[in-house]
Amino acid sequence: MTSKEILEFEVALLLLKYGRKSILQALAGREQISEVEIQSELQALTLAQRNSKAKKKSSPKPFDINSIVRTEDEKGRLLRELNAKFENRTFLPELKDVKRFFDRHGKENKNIKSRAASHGALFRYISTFDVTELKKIIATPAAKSEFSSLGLISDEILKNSNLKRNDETS
Amino acid sequence: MAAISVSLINMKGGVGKTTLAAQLAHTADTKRLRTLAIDLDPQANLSQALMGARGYVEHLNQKKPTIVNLFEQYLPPTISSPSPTKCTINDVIIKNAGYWSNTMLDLIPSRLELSNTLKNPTGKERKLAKALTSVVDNYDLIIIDCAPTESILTDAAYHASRYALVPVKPEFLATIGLPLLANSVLEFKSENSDHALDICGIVFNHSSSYSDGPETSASVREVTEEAKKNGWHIYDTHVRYSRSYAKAAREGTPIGSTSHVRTNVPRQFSSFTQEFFKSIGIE
Repeated sequence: MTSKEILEFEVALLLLKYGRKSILQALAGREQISEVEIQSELQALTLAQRNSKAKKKSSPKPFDINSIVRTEDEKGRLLRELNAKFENRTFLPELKDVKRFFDRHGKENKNIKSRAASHGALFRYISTFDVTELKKIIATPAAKSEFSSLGLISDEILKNSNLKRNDETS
Repeated sequence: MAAISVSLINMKGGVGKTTLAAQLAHTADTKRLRTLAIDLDPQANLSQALMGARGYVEHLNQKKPTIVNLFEQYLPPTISSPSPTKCTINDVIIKNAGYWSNTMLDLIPSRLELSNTLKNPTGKERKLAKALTSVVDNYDLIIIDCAPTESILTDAAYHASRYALVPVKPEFLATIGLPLLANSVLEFKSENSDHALDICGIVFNHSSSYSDGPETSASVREVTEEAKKNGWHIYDTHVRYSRSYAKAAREGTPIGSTSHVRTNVPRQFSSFTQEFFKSIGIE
């Protein structure tokens, strides 16, 4: 038992034994302050506790795909696969990719502050897609920034030139 | 109604034909016009700008057909198809190649081997126009991006086009391409008197970002006089230089969806596109 829990237990016991009014009177006498002041301090304390609980509630919980996928049909399986890809960053690997995804689908993207925070909204939106669309998204290769666009095209052009040169020399 | 076909032509390179073609294609797609973009330049920059470098290289690696096959009129043998097969325009069209998820923008990509067409050009100048006849009813707009030198490919573009859009960079050397173009168009029209090919307008492209200096003003004045002589329209809006256009080509995006684009850039481009669509009869 923590010290906080022991205190809460003893206070509860005192309240049961003597009642709220007697406890407050005794506390006011001991601390040499009025009962009214004690009441207002209690109110402020209760309000602060409520606010802190509300704050805790508003902090985002990590998104769980099971909250929107409850079936094991094909659509469910595709959504889980896409979610796994999102989590290991092979689907929409960066925030800009998430923003672009929303933009391409004509959805507002200005309020998206981070990739992680967009997880829930993204999958709630994607869950409205049909199986064909989901398959198409899964089949689209992830943009990998480690490959340069110039490099890709240059390799392709040089590959063709080498083939031609080899043909000519053989 | 059959599609309106527009070629982006200038005998000078580096005036922004491909950038303009890609952005016009995206704008038409955004306007929900059924659009076909045709890359008629062996450098295949329009294909790369619309498909992205990865998509384009994958297309080539998978030996999928390009405009080259349309000019050669056959698909070479492959492992799954062991003899040459006839190539139709539908074989070379990539469906839904645009940016938006519900895109109506299709693309006929190009590849470097298109330059081989120039080595054996006989009878190829009408092949594109003929092939397009079977799909024109499927589109509202056809945008053709041309190579900068006059060749069989320019002729192919003329034969397939109702209008030519001429981007001009307001610099002395860049404006020299204009009389060459005038000559080329006149020659084509005299040889093909039944063909209605009109220049829908000249657009000053890649002009200075902020204000025009004396060199720009001089070039604009000269081009305006040349245009007046030939009865060509000049669009009021100048498409001013912005690094975002280059970025849009890399990202494969419409200018308005390009990362960190300044709001005035898509606004100005939109002003030009309104003029352009009006000039070809699309409101």
